[in-house]
Amino acid sequence: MNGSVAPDELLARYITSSRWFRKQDQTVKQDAFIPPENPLELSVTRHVNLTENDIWSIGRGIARRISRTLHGRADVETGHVIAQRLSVVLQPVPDNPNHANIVGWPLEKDARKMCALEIAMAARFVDNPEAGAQTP
Amino acid sequence: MVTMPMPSTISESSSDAADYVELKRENFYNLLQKSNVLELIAEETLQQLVEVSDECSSEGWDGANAKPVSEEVLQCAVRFLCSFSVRIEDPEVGAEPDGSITLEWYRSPNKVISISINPDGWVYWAALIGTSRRHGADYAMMGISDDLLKIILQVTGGN
Repeated sequence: MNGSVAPDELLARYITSSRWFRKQDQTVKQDAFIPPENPLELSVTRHVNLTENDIWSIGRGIARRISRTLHGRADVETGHVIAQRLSVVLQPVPDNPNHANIVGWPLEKDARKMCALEIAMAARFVDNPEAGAQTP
Repeated sequence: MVTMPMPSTISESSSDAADYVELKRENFYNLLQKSNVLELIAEETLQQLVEVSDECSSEGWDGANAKPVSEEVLQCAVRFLCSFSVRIEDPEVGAEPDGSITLEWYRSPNKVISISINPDGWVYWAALIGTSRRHGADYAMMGISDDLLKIILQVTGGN
């Protein structure tokens, strides 16, 4: 599905690995923003029209499905993604109408890592308020 | 290095899967203790490597389409770390959704280097050092290059 996302829209990347953020200063690692291959698409959720509770609810659903802990989320403005010459395309799914993919990644892995480092530097880690109560 | 056949009952119950992971971990450590790897890599780093490969050993471990971290990638990461000609501080170990293991040295958001040990046998790296951006690729079997070692030392302040 095609569609546009405003540069000032916030995107959430759910953090399902404790190794995707640094506990010492609550910053996000580039690992969280590296897309899987075939296809090179990174799954994110748009904040638009969602309450804070809705955003966490979607993340908890994802974590439950894969039996992992939802540690938090990395919020980043779409503009920082576009600045890396990447695009955000809408890709609603049944349990997440705000689902989108970051696409247009360079074919060279080292160039992808550079993009991911820049996006991670601009992202803000948000701790899951219920992280302690979860049983993965 | 460790190459174990998957038990035929692995898909039958989660406890079988847990037993298999535990067995794999024990075998890995036994093998390392017989080698001189522990003289070259900190034990904590090895522990992190094993934990990462355990945590990310199934398809979709990121909640989407992540590839599992394979035993070959784990072995490649150990070989790569053993190739360092000087002892430097321990990296943070992680994993990426494409099945790579990552090694990160971090000082601040704009003083960081991340190295990926990829399933294809290549090492890909990217670094932010102030306003400088550097990235590149090396073949993992060749070990760490002098250039890459210099960049890690620039980040850690070891030069």
